[in-house]
Amino acid sequence: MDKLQHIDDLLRKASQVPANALVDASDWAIIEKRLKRRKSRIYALWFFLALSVCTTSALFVVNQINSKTTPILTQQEKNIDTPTHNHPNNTTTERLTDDFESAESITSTDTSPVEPLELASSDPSILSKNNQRLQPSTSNTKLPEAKALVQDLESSIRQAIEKSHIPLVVALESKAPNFAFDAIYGSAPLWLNQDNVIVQSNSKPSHLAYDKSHWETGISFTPSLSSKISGVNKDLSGFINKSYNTFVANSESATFGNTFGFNAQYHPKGRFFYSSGLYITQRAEQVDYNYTITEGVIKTDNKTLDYYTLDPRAYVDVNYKGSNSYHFIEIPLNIGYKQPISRNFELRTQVGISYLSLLNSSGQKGNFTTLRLDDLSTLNFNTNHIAANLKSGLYYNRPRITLGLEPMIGMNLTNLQNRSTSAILDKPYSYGINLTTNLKLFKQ
Amino acid sequence: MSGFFFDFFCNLCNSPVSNLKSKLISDEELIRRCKESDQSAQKMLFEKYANKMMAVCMRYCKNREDAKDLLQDGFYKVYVNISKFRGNSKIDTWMTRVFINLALNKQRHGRNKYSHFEFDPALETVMEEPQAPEEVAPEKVLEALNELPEIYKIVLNLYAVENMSHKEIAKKLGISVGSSKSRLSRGRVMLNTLLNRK
Repeated sequence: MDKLQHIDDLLRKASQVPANALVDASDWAIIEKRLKRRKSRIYALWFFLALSVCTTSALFVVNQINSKTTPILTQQEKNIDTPTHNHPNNTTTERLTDDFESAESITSTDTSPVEPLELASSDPSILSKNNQRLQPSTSNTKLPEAKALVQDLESSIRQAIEKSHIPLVVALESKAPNFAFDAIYGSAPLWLNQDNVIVQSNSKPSHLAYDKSHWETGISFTPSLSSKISGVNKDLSGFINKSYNTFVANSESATFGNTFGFNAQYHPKGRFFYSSGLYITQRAEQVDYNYTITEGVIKTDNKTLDYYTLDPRAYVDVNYKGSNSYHFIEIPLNIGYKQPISRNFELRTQVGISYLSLLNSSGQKGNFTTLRLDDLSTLNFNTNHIAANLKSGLYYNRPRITLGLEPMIGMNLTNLQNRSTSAILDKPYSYGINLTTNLKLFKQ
Repeated sequence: MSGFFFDFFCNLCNSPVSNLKSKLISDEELIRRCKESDQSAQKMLFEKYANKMMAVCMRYCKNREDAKDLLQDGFYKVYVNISKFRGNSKIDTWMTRVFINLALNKQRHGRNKYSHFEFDPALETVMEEPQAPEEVAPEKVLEALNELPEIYKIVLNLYAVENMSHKEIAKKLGISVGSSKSRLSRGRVMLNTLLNRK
């Protein structure tokens, strides 16, 4: 077979000839478009990466700060603050009594008789008055009187809760043991000294308290950029027109979409929460078709296409520019984690999946076989879809309302087109900023 | 300012600015700028090597449309991965490898739309044909090459044009060395037959 080695030489020579006439400006235009698309994808990726890093760092820093600002108790104080038994109802009475009993075992300094406290309230004058009454004398304090003081305090606090319960709940639940102890043993009852109990007591404001469960409901709007990940259905790949990529696929790009709907979140005790809702979600694509169909196709068998040149009079010019949109009803189910970063702000991160039901689709799309335009409303799309969601952002938190600003990304995990009829399978996705306004609903 | 004079000079020469620029700027400079995602450099690299790469694509594809698709995919891949180019070889050699790997990968993953063509099964049975003439027009050689079944065409290309050994071909295609040799031999016979018929 060596005599045929000259075939190699022929081939080598032929390969040296550059294919000058075959490359044109449209090739570069297509590459350029793909590079731009990639660049925008990279920006989005970096954005979410940076967001994740920032969120994680913020969570870490805040945790560190919280742990550092926790008062360092002496061993004696620890003994006193440590509950002797569980408090099933977590009531103030039990806490105060426990603290008092613990205190008994350590010291028995007498206290001077104290006048009953006036009803606790946010009135500075009354607080000041109460404070003066709470100042313990340095000698002859008697335990029964101290007990009376505690009981008095307890009833005052109870009444205060009824009148202006929100700030005091925090003070009561987070600082009451210390407060009672301090009142008995001489240091100033700090929380009563201050106009602003929340700040001075170094506790979280009531609306950031994580020991109460509540619901949040409201509306949510997400302007977003929508695009898709396209794949080939191997079973029908032979039916893809040889010019599909050049003419159709490369003429499709990202465009604006949005999501709007009702949002509901359940916040149990602690940092985790659950989120759901009912949304109208729009995924979209921008198309800019501008080509001429010069070849017809015949399905030679059930696997491949054969091409024939059309009579020039039968050429089909395809010129269409517009936005194709797909509307879904979306029901997400997310799990989230929240982390306070300041008095009124917290970071919330949510991840989960959504059920989407395709409502309608509008626009026109180049057929993968004929390249002619198909009306989307006539195409066979899957109705039921599953999508993955990731949101992470900042929430402004007030006692009765929360406002959220969260970058988000949502991507369909299922194909838009029906696998039995389409050779091209798209998974649309969108990324944008989720704007949320929620009302808080507490149990009365 | 120098850019202005350069453009002015190009205009005087009646040459498209970017074409001339791409010829005057060294490969090293182009690569460096491409690594920085400089779009003008990317375009210049395309203009400089598109024709050469198109010839490569034509050898691995059945028709012009498929070759154009491969050209676009290949250049996209080149730009995305150019940071991996170490400069140990010429840029066009490296690019050729990228294009070939891409064509082979697509075929391997069954997504190769570059391969749906028919061929004459009788070609495989023809064993004795007169030797093809020493001088054949390159277009005819490529035309005949494109009529070969993919498995022979690729081995012929890799062996004759890319100067790869049978061991390398076997490794790249996931076949045995014996298969590579046999495909080369059969490919030569078929190509010879086709050239004689033309």
